[in-house]
Amino acid sequence: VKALRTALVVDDDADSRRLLVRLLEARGWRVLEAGDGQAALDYANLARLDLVLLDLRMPGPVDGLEAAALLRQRPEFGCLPIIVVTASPQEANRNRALVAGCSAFLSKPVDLRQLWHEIERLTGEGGR
Amino acid sequence: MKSDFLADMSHEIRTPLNAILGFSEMLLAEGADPLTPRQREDLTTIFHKGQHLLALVNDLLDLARIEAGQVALQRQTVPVRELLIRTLDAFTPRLNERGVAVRVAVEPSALAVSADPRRFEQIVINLVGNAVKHTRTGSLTLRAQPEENFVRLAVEDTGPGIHPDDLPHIFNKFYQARRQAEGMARGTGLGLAITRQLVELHGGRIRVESELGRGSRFEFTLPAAREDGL
Repeated sequence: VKALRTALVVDDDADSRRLLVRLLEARGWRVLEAGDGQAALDYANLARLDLVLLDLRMPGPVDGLEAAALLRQRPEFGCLPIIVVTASPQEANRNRALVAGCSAFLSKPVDLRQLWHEIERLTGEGGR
Repeated sequence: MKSDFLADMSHEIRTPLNAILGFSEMLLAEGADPLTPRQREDLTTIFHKGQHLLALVNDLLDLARIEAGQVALQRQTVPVRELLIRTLDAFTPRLNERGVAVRVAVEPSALAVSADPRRFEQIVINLVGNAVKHTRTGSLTLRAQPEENFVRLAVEDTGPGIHPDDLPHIFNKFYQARRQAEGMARGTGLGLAITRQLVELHGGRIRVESELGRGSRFEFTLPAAREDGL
């Protein structure tokens, strides 16, 4: 029996979070939710993560870009797939996200097929 | 600052649309609890109208950025023939299905323009997309030929044509021509306005000729690429 894989969904918009949680759970992922960057970093101290879906623009001291950069600095998260899902899809943000170490950059509204494609590509496990 | 306002507006519209499109798409795709035909139809409407809103916000933002002078062209030498053929590819299945013949006439074949390739492609997609939408039989022809320091390009179709009363207004924002075929998907009403802005941003001109029952011809110019590649 394969252990459940764990995804962390980081977004200040509760509906966007719920959408991703529903999608991932339906395909057998265990999902943790964080409403801002600091909460995401707190979770990262507690749990082994196999995937992060990350909003960029969030209130609080740590936004998405900073959270991604801080996660990447830790050796245990050097290869962690971090997929940005943002409602600010400007080219400049894409470049910043890639520089911060994010693995993929998707815009909201998120195309679900594209999301699964990226999850499969980066984790080898998208589900159906 | 205006740029911040536009970026904020886009963000604030995209966020609720993410839930609207995401949840409706997910419900439509879920196999476990089959929907009744009526539920499926209603959900499909929500999904399609959400997509329409997304197209609208994308076009509005694009147009607002161009009008605010915030769009910088990344000009390079673009071979015309390659770009036209590549852009047409996406439309080919639909045209083949209807039996609409497609022609590309570029003389000389090595013709090149000095343009932002992404924006040039956007211009062609908008014009060809319109032609494809309206042309049920006959042909679609793309032409290009040199004209002094410019290249003159044309998109010709054998669609229903545009009413003479509509012709002077079709490049205006949100102008809806009176004579739309039944069941035709409504666009954002901004495609031709954006197209004109993009052509003029390159230093070109765009115009249209049309005859009811015969078809339409959109013609635009872009600066020719110089021999030395600049």
